[in-house]
Amino acid sequence: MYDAEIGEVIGSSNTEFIAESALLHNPPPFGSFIQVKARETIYAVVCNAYTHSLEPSRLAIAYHRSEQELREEQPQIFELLKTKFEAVIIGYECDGAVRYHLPPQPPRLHSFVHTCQPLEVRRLTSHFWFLRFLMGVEKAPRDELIAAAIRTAYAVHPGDRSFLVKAGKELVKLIGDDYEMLSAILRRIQD
Amino acid sequence: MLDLAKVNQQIGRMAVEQQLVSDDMLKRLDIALGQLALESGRLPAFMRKLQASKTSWLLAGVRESLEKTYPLPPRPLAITVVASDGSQIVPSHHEVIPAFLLNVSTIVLHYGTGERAELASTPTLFYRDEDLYMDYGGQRVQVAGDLLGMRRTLMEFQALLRQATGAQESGHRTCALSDGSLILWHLEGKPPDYQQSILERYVGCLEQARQQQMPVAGYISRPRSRDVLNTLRVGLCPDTVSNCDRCQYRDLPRLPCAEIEGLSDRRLFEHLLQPGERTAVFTSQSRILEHYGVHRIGFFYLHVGAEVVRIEVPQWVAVSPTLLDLVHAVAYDQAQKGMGYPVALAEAHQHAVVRGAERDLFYEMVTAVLLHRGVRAAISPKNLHKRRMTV
Repeated sequence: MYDAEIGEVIGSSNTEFIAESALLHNPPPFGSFIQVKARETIYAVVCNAYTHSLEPSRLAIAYHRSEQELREEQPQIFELLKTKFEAVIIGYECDGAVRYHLPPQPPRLHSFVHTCQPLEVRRLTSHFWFLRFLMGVEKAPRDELIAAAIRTAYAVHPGDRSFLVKAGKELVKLIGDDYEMLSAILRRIQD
Repeated sequence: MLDLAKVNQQIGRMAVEQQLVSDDMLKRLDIALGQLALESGRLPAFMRKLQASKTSWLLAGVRESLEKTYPLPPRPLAITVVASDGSQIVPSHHEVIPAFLLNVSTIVLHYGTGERAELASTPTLFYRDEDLYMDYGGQRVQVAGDLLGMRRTLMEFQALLRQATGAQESGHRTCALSDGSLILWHLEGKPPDYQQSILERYVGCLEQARQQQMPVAGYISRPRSRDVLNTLRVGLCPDTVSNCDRCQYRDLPRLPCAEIEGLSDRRLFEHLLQPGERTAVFTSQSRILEHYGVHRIGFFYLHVGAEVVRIEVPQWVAVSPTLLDLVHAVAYDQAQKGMGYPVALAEAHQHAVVRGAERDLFYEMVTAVLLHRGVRAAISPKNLHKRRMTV
């Protein structure tokens, strides 16, 4: 199931990309790890997702009906909506190793996006260098994004307290004396 | 450039005159409604008079009281509605090639089952000599204007029936909605061979639907027709049998039948119908329908809430209470879903329309491909000038 494509790249740069979700209303979770198989495999963390009308001139309106009722009585609207998600690039694969720096080329348009398997997430998060990329994100609250990514990573290191300790130390290095920010992230990881 | 300041004064004058016209129309409407009640009260005599009269205007065939209204029947829970529409990039000799393009959309909406909607459009490029020119009354003429419009109408209708009969065959109870009239009155007075070739195919589509007993309906928003109103003009005529050719009231300052001139059926029935209700079915006496055989078109007016619309159906739908109720219910329900206009037709329009930017892009693509293949392609100086103005 991990191999099924979850989206297709429709906008791309060296630092981030936008993809159209294969399923309406079902983008990959915020803070989850995804990959684009291009010349080299590029890794990214989901930092934003939204659903909107396919055509800019057609606005969504409230119908005051349940989704089931809408599917039965207004079936056309589900063909006119698209779910998209945005991801910040955290590295790429080169000569069999993960490089935690930006890829030489952005992901190609129309490449397929896949979820990272738990083993891959383990490999990617064996270092915390990816956190630096999340610090630069402006599309989402940084504390939320970093906490979500660490929670996702912790899920593949179950019960490993030392993982959380290492993550905390890395955050202290990154954030410095911004105590507010640090405590906001730590609170979100504990939840 | 439009000098808006100059137009503004004219708009002001127009509004004043419109106000006078609209006051006058209310008086006419009163007369028409009075006549409608009167004729409904003496229906057999009225029908005999209509039958015997010869008028210069189109008369509705009346079979039931003009006042009769039918309440909204329930819509079947599971129903499939199919619609189509089309648009074109017209041939222009100012462009790189004289080709034209027809874009035909088909919309299939399954209700009550949760199945996915099918929204599609298919462009077809016409560029061969036999596409661009046709034999028309013994002459070779370019396919443009009316002829292009008719080709498009036919393609839309064929696409509509293909999808709708397909849906019906796959076990979905289906209703096909066509945008506008089912009466091809444009064909009147056209060369017989041309008329026949179009009608054969059009009526052939209707026949397919009849064999499946799948109703087809034409939905006309803001109808301007006067077929029913014209019957009231016959009613107003003091003669026992009207004959416009031998009208003896021509010397009067105003003809007796002109009392209700300028109104429309829509205005009339706005006062008789409640939302959801329809009128009786009338038959159209349009001459082109002589070629429709068992598919002669009848019509009724329906109050969809936002407006009174005209719905046209073939005879075999009109005489079947089940099919007629289905069309009535679907047309009303579609307008509710689309907030005043059938959602299937609105989607069909959206998917068929070719926007200005797309048209420009189309010609850019054509130019690029032609140049790539070494074919000389150039747009006319006039068109080039329109695109790039200098000061």
